[in-house]
Amino acid sequence: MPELLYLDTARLGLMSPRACRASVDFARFAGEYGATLYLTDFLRDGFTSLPSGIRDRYSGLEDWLGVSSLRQSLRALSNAKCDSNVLVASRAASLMKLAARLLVRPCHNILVTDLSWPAYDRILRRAANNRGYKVTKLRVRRRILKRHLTADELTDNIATQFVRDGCDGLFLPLVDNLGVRLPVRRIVERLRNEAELRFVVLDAAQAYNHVPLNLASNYCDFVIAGCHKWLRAFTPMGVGFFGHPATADYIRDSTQRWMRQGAIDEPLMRFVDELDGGACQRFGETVSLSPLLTSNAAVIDALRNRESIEVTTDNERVLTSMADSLGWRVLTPSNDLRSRIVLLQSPHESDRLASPETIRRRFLNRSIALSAYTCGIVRVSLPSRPFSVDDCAALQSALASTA
Amino acid sequence: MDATETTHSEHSSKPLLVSAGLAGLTIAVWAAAPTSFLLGYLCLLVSALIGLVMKTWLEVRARPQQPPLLELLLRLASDPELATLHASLADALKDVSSRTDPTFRKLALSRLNSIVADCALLAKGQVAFTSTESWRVVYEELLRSPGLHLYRSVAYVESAHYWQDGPGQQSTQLNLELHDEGTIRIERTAIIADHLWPASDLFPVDPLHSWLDQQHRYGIWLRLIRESALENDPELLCDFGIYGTRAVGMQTADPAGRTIRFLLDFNFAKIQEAETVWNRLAVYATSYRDLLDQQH
Repeated sequence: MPELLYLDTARLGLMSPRACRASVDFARFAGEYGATLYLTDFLRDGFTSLPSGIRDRYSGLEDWLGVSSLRQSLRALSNAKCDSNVLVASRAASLMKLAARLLVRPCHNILVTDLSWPAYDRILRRAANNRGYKVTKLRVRRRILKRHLTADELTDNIATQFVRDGCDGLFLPLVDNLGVRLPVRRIVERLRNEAELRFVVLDAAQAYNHVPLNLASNYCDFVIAGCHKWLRAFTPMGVGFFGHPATADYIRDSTQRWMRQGAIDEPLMRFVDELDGGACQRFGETVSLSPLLTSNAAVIDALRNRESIEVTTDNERVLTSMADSLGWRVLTPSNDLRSRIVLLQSPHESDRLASPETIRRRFLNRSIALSAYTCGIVRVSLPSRPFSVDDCAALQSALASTA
Repeated sequence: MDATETTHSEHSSKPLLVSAGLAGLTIAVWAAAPTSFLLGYLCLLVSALIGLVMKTWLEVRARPQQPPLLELLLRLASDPELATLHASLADALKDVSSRTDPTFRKLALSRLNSIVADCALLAKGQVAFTSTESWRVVYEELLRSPGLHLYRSVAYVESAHYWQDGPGQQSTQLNLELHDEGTIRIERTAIIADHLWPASDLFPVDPLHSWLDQQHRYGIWLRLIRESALENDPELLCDFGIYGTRAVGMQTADPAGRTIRFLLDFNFAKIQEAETVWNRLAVYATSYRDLLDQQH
């Protein structure tokens, strides 16, 4: 059976080698030692706290050096300042709920676009509707993909709408699920010059370890990311970053207060804080620990194997020219809004009528994993290694076939 | 029985006497006269009745207005709470008027004049609290009232101890609690006397700075203005709060920051005026967030 060409990272990334080892060895450890004090020591102080006999048997856990080290690695990967804060949660949606609460306190009208992930959009609207705040939605996706709106034009559109509707809060994805990479920093700087921008939340679920976040430049207040896509931890874990000097105290104090009050119910966040602070709650909830270890291992893999932008560009060129020659329509935004996600639409009527699952299965039969949508559209997440001859042959064959 | 009651009794019995007389006459005609005469007689009576009703109706319509007292009583009758108060007040006034001691009357008239002045203020939709912190009870009631989502406050701070005494701290705590739980959104503009915020300093002096920082940490949006920035617009130097679109509260404080007078105004025109001032102040203001940005 030919090797699988995995092009579905935007949905769920292939588990990274270290994450895989950590996951397997932690499962073995759990089977043999359960919740003994060895586990407590290991989680709090890291791999070196284990007796040498155990260390030798579970070398896949060697990357775990404690919560501080995990936070440091997550920070390093996002290019955040060393004093910035990192929150860890069992679900990114929990962090979105926190972000929505943070947004609606100082802001009364929050600008979003139709590029937002619908579930996050709903969380924000629910938070806003409960309190009589407003969420203003700007529709840009169609113009980006069909009319090739440039980054400057997109910035103009967002700034115009923001000022005209008297908005004061902003929620944007850094990269949307269809691969549009927003010029967020430019947008935020523009809005700060032209209006009273009070709080900015960014969704980096599709951006973390995909595009540089450059959080050190403090262009936003709160960033939500996940570990199961481009970071390739496979097990979902939410990560929140904040460190803007103007809002860090507000976020830190409010988060702690809401956790105490129970308004934010996030067991992993609580557990990690306890591990980090040394305090232990007697009647705390039991949490899944595996995401901590796999995410930690995946971050180390990511930091050691920084991906080359040239490879991505070459892969994109190969894929789009191949698709083009076979009649597929390449639904890419303008150059300055592109990411490692490419959308292609089949020229065949039968494909356009076929279900997404049928199309996915057709590609899988040729050892290619990708996402498919209605109307014969497929989403390709470009790999970090160059396409091989076999990859190209498989792609050629899959694109040439009809449903 | 006095003369007024006798006249009233006479007036009320007249229609009965006329009715009885006409009825007697009708029976006599029915007994003595032929049917055609009786029919003509009845037609005459009905015509007269219609004429009288029309005359009365036109008279009522032609009258420009009901007597003021009658109108007042009718209006109050539709508001049971006020009707009860009115009855109590009328009874009390009647008792006051029955006393003849000149000193008592002088004192009573003076007090009653003061009550009338208060009532006149209430009639204008205003409630005043003088030399008391009891306004904070109403303040809390307003902030907690259903339907209020936005509270905009302008604090004219001439003392570093502004809202630092017991009642002030309680009000601050109430602000933080309501904003934090998302019941209302609070925005505050602080006009700060220059000696409390020297031009060379990024932040105002403590404990004022701490008071502001605490609010910022709860997500309250803060704007700051140096008093000297408003020297060309002295009418903007004021201390007030806008409670949604329901009321405006204007506070006058002594140099130590204690309330001398608090006037609550429920007139929409006043709310609009306050919003205009709020917007004009925004032109001169710097957000607390920007100051924190400059710190780093």
